[in-house]
Amino acid sequence: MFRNYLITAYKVLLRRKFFSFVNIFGIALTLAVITVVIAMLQNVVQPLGAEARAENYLGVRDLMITNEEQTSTSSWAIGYRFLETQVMPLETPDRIAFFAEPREGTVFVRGQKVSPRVVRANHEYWNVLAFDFRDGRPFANDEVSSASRVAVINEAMQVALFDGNPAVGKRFDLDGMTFEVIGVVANEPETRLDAFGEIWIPYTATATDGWRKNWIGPFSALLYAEDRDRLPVIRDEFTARLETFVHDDPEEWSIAKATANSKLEALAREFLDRRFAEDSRVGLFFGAVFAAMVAFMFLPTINLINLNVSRILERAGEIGVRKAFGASTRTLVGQFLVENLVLSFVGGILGVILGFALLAFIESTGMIAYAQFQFDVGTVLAAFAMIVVFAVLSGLYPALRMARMHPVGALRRG
Amino acid sequence: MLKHLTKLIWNRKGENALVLVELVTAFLVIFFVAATISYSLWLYKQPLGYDWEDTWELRIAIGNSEWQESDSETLRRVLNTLKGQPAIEWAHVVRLGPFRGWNWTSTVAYEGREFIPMWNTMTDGAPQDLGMTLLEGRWFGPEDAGRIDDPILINERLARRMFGDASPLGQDIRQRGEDEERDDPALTVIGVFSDFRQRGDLHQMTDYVLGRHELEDPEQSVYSLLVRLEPGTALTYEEALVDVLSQTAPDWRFVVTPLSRIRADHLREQSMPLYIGGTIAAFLVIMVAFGLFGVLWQNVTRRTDELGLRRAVGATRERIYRQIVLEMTLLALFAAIIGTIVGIQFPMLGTFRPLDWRSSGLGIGAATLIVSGLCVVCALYPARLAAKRPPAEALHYE
Repeated sequence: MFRNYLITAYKVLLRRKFFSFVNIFGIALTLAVITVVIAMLQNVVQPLGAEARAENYLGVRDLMITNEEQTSTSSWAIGYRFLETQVMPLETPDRIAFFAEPREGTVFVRGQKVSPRVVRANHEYWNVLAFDFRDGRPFANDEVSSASRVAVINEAMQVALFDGNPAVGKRFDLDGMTFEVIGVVANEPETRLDAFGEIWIPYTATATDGWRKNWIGPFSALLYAEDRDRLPVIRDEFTARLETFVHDDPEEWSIAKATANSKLEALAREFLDRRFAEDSRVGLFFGAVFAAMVAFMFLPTINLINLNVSRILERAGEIGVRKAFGASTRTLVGQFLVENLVLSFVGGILGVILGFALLAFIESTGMIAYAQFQFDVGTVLAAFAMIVVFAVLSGLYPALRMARMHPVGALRRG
Repeated sequence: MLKHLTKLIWNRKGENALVLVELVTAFLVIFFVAATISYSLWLYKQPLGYDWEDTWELRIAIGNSEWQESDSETLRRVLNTLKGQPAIEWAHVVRLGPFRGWNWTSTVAYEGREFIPMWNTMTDGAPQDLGMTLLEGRWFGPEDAGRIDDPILINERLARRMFGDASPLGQDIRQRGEDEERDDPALTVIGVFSDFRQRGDLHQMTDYVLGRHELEDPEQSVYSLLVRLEPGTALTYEEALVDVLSQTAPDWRFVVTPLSRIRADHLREQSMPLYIGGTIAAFLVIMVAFGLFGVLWQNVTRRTDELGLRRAVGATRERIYRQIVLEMTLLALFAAIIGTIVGIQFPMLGTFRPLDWRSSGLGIGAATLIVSGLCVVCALYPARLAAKRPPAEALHYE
């Protein structure tokens, strides 16, 4: 039975090559765009590259301090004072990494300016994130506490600063301070917010240490657990500890709001602008993304419905015969949906290939620094789920119309 | 003729309704993209209100900490060093430099009406050196030091919205929350300038207030400076400049960027959504074109009996051809009318600023042209097919 459907579908596909081409072309273009969107989302959320252990940590990125009347509010990333009093004393995390958000530095190489993004981090940063060291080693705890002028650079910086020659042991001047390279790591794309950087230095290696006094500051913390089932416990401890927050100026700043999030929760919060709300509403986020995709597919769907309706009317004879021999409405609808699914899958496969070609193009333009979109099974599966939605949406109305055709009229027309 | 065609379309309303939905959707997509692009082009063509050539932005990071009172001494030293450089024409504090997308707003009230302009402060002489245009009144200068009220300049847009045709000069306005009765210093308008589009070429026009940056006030923090170079200064001068500055202010870090580069980045970043939107819209239009072509072709083959009858009773090929093309044009016009009714809501409600009357008009025009053009082009070949069919074959059909 199913095999018959497939054969018919194949025959129909070959019958009017132009229309089949139009159908497949439309589906492929639509799916290509959707593949690109899904791949980009995956790339931000999935534990890839140096963020391979992302499912074992929660990130604390944003902090808002305010008071009961909200007469003053201030928000940005967390400051060093907050790290000291609210984050480092936490007992449940196995490791606590923290790092400052990337900041543009200046290095001159033979009179040419290079502007690397510089990240200041603690030594646990290297244990929580899984950087691929091509050479050398990360900086250690004693190097951080002694504010050593040591740096880990990525491969792109190895090329930019040292023409790709072995860099470990060499020195360079960053914003007027001399650093020694102790390690070289693989490039990490800009979309990996926890791992992105071009040069990493100990967070203590600064000219002055005014940052030690700030509550609001450039840092993010990663709370790591060997056993990921313990993450909820860590979250509870972090939230509970916020109650103990006491600012130096307790009148003006009595309340601190911050949340510990997985990468997906962080993205949902960012997207829905709920950075400091109690729950992250991941479901709502997925709903919004899905709705946006369906809205985008509206025009292609109507287009396909139109084409399908006229293609079906052309097959009046065949349908008339099948009805005359007792095929039920449900069978006919089923048959047409299968045909449409086959068509959609052919278009969908082309679309996914086209989508990955587009992603490769985006990588090559350098629009997103060090972007590398893997051919990811999840992306392909999600794209195919969208194909099924698409096929059912564009096939249902024409199929119902076909099934409602009067057999006598249909036969006469053939 | 027209009435008859309308009737023909109505008779086959089932199929035509679906085509119409498709056309209206395509119309709205084109309308939206075309209107946004035309709005951006219009913004790009408006004068910025200042010169950015040969100018560098000097961003300051103060040892990763907050501004201290001692930093104002350092700032004066830095400015003097800069002014002493032969390659530098001038150096000024401009609190929020251009093309950065930085935003500082604060509500002001005048006679009970509130406005939310953007704010900025500059040192004396900066507006003149930046080539800004004064329309009324005067720029601030050293004579304004030590005043109790705050002298401000406002842009033409805010002046017109706040004071209408009356002269804004000497008017006192207040920041929100400051009572007339209280002795808070008022803001006194001392001049009106044409505009200072700080966020760049592709950002919307805003109300703007310019205050005087007092170098003498140790609490006024500074995070960026602008310097104008003598024309023809090489980019390599940057390294030497950073070197000199690091000696003058060892605690500060400097990031030097030419405004031309910040502007190029700004333009690229702001126009990226337009390129993406435009490309997707173009893909959708191509897809719709193919789809329409297919639907029309099928429709024409299925109307063989009707068209055959017309041929048999004496209609020429020419007339059949015309009928099909006209039917399609009419359908496109219906779609355009519905699309226009929907599209016109945006400027009428005024909720979305890029869709003002001008850009909406252009968007509707572009969408009408493209959608009807599409319909006519897609109808040409099927219409020829229909016209070519011999009447005998057509009648034989039943």
